[in-house]
Amino acid sequence: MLRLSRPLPARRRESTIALINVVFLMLIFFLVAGTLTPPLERDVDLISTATAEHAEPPDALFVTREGELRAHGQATDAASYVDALKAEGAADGALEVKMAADRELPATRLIEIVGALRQAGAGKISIVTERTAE
Amino acid sequence: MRSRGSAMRIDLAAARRRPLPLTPLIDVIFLLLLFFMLSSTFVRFAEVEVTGGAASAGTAAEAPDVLIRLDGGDWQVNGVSAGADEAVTELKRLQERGAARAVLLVRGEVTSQELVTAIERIRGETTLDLTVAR
Repeated sequence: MLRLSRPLPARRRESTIALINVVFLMLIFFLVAGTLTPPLERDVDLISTATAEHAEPPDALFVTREGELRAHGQATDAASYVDALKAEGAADGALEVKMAADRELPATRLIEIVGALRQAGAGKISIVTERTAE
Repeated sequence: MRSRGSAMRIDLAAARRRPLPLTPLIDVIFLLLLFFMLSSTFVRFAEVEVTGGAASAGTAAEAPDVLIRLDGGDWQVNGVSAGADEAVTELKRLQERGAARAVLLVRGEVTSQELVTAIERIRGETTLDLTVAR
């Protein structure tokens, strides 16, 4: 004898409330736990440090592994970067430059760039690093 | 129900409230979620200040008390080769003897990572006034 299964009861609509709940929770998580960043250069692998003082996400001068300077996604050089900084913020006191260098960049090249920035008129130069958990 | 002819008018019962449309709400929340997911980062940044560089002519006037050379994993403090740990103890000893200014020289194939690690270490464990040069 052939047995036919009973017709399924009509599907009830999925409740959207549960979906919204989850999405809301994720939204709140990202709002609270993440920090908004200016776009970072993708192929620069930041230097990691353990104890350096905490800093804001950088809008920095990126230095790639080959020693090429980049700001806002475009190749630049020390003098024009410092000029642009001077132009955009009325420099009160010492001009502060943040550099984000690749960890494989030869240190001699790094010091060369620091020298060039100094010569171009930068006052305080700091290197942006990423903090690793101890 | 009242008969038509009665003098008193009673307002019609308010039409039954329709449920709030949820789709646009979800759309917006989804968009917000995507925005925050894509533009936030969980990397914690820090910064290390670099003093010196090739063009720091002003500091050259005063002779440094300690000369540190960094060459690969090798440190040389005032000409004496040492590992990183011994070098730091030596620096502490020199500091107790009254040294105040140190110059960090970089040679050869040192990467930025090693340089910054060294700077961070020296700054963290001693109070020497550190300048970087090539």
